[in-house]
Amino acid sequence: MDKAEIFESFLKRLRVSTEIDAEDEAAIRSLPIVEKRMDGGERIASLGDRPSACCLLVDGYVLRSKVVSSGHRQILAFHQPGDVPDLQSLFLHVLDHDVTTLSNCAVGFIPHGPLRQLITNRPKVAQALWRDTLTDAAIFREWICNIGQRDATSRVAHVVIELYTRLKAIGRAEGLCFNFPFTQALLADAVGTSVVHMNRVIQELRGQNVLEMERGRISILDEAKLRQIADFDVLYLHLNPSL
Amino acid sequence: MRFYFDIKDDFFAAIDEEGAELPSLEAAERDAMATATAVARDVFSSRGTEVLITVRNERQPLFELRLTAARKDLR
Repeated sequence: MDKAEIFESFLKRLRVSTEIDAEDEAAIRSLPIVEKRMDGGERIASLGDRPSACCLLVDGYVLRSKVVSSGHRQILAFHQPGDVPDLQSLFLHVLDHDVTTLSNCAVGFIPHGPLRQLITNRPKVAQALWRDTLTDAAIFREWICNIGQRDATSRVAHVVIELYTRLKAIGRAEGLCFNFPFTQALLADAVGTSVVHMNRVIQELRGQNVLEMERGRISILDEAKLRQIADFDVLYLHLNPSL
Repeated sequence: MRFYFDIKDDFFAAIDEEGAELPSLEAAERDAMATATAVARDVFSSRGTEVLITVRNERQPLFELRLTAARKDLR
């Protein structure tokens, strides 16, 4: 994979949501990056680690999670191509959660030094990454509302429509379908309920002809109804910088 | 051991066709209770009154767990 391809999803995402110019893009493309292929379920960085590079996700999915003392895992976020799930390690030196691949992934590690240099030299890149971090926080706020206040069916619908909307923004959804290696256990850990409960929720959504989830592929059958069940308002994704 | 959890409440019935591998009957009881209370939170707040979980293995039903919302007027 050449460097233009490696940075493409990342740049596509920054272009959608921030105002970087051609020189900024060239500067990002010239960052040193170490490519790596990883299998699903591999740790990129763990709680307590001191990463010396940030991980750009080029292809596949990554999740961030934390295991509490009872042994239960809470999934904090799903990441898609173009995301830098551990960007915080640039300033918060010790990682406070785990970053794990969810599927086979292509990733690129950008050393902290050159990345710091880049944001010192190019304020618009610094602003774009700052905005990215703020959007990340907005997504976490929405997840708090989701887990704390919505019923389980609404929670699952919300996670699905969020994934779909973010993938569509970087051109990775095909119509109303997208590939995502979900399992009931994974969704249960993302919305804070049991695997058995998840089975009921998925059957209910299927029974209402809203959603089909099969073999790593999610198809939205009725987008308007799914949005309504999810209580979804796209605002918190801040996909439009002119708003 | 493989356990199957069928859920029935006022609004929906879900038959578990996949099942889950669990270490013991106690683990299945814990999962059934965690699920029943989670489902009840949603069902009872939508004015439902009952959640029933039937746990089976490949051969036979093992136990059922029933949660009921019982309102009694005191005026």
